[in-house]
Amino acid sequence: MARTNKKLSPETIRKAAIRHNCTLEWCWNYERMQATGFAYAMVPVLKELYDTDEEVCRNLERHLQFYNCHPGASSIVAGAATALEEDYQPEMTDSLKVALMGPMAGIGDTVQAVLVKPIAFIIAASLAAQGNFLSVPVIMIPFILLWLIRFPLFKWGYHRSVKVIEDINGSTTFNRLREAAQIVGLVVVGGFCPSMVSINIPYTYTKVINDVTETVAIQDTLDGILPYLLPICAVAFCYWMLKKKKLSPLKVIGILCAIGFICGAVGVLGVA
Amino acid sequence: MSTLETALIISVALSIWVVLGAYVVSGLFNPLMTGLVTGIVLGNPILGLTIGGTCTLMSIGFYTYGGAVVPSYTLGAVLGVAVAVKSGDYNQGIVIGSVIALLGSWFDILQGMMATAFIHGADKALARNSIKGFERWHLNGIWTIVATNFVPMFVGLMLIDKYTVISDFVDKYAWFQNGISVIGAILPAVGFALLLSYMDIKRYWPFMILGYVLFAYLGLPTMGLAFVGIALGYLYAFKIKKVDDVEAVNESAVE
Repeated sequence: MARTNKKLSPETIRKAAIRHNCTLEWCWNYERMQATGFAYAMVPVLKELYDTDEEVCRNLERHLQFYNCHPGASSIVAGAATALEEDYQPEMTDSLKVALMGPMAGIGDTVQAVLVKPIAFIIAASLAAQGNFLSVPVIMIPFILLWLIRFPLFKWGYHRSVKVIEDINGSTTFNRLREAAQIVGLVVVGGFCPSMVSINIPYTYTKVINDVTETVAIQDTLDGILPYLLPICAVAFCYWMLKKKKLSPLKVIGILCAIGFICGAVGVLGVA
Repeated sequence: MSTLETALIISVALSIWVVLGAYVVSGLFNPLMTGLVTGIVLGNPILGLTIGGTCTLMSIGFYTYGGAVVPSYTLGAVLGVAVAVKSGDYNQGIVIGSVIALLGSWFDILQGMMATAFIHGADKALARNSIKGFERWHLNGIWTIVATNFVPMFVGLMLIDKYTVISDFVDKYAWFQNGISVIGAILPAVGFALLLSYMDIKRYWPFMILGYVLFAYLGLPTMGLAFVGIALGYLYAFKIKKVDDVEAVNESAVE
């Protein structure tokens, strides 16, 4: 066994980062999810640390255990794992992966699902609705930036090594980041979602005041009470079905399609 | 161009795009892009963009937490745009797109199952001490992704002429037309509700009301909302001492 204090070359670390950041999910499967992707990233690392193919393969087998994380935040895990492999601590590496993948997935998923994706998608979709091609860079740039961040994250994980666990558990920075992400998401979604559900009530009626006939649209009356009242009701109804009735999103889509179709066909609801 | 040619061009282009835009960089393979590419090839980029944009909106709350199965709006946008270009009707495109998106989620399940065979191949390669073999199994896993994206797109686009049965029916009845247009308008509500269900509304509801007031009454645009959100998020999460924290401190002081 090559138990020398070998230091990995910067070239090897770069190779591992590229492999991790570009191919992590290429063989995503139900059995062990991102396992092969993580192991693939460790190949250059293990090849430099161990002399024989046999040793490399035995160590790769350790990395083929179940692994699933947010692909961006996983860069930190992969960086830290590289540092521990470099210290010849296989057991530590494995427990680090298990300990970190949950919390890291939590922070990565929150940032992507409630912050970056909704904001980029909402702005791009509203531009696209006007036929504006600016929507293309608007939807691409945030995700390209999220991808580019993976490289410094890998380096950071490598330098912090096992201390990443303390950073996660000890400080509240990560929790605060999740909290801030939720707040930004809620301000944007709360503000914008009503306008994107474009339904209204097409009914009008006439009334006669002082011999003058006036046409009154029910929608105008509703807007006077609360702007976007119907869209808010639609979102609230879906939320209630998802959260309180515990219906699956697919069922909610089915119910909403049925209600929308019937109301539209009868003429109770129209498109704004 | 013949149906075969357009179907091939779109499916091949988007199969390359799924690898680069979803499995190298993630997030770039979205309904807006797939709709736009389809629109460009079929000669109506604007229709592609608008339908792609609506499908993007519908997909907003669907997120693959831990590999959860979500509707495939990327596929839905492709076939939705194709139908809309064919029939000249935006609403038919949206409704067909939504239905196809739900059916398309089965192909993601298929991909995850197919790739299971590849990880077993990787296991066996390591047992033989073959690093190269292991690497090949991992990298070739991408073909499960290419196949499960290419096949439904290609088959769907080849069958595009069959949709005229539906469009003839729709054209005949105005009430049916009204019904499906309301479906198209109301469906983004599910995505928004789903997104809200991930968030701790009990705790953060005031921020939602604030966003609503800024937008609906004061007419702030989205970027403006985002900046207000960032400022508030920073202040609230990083700067202001939490009521809970203060209470916790007080409680421990009493003990």
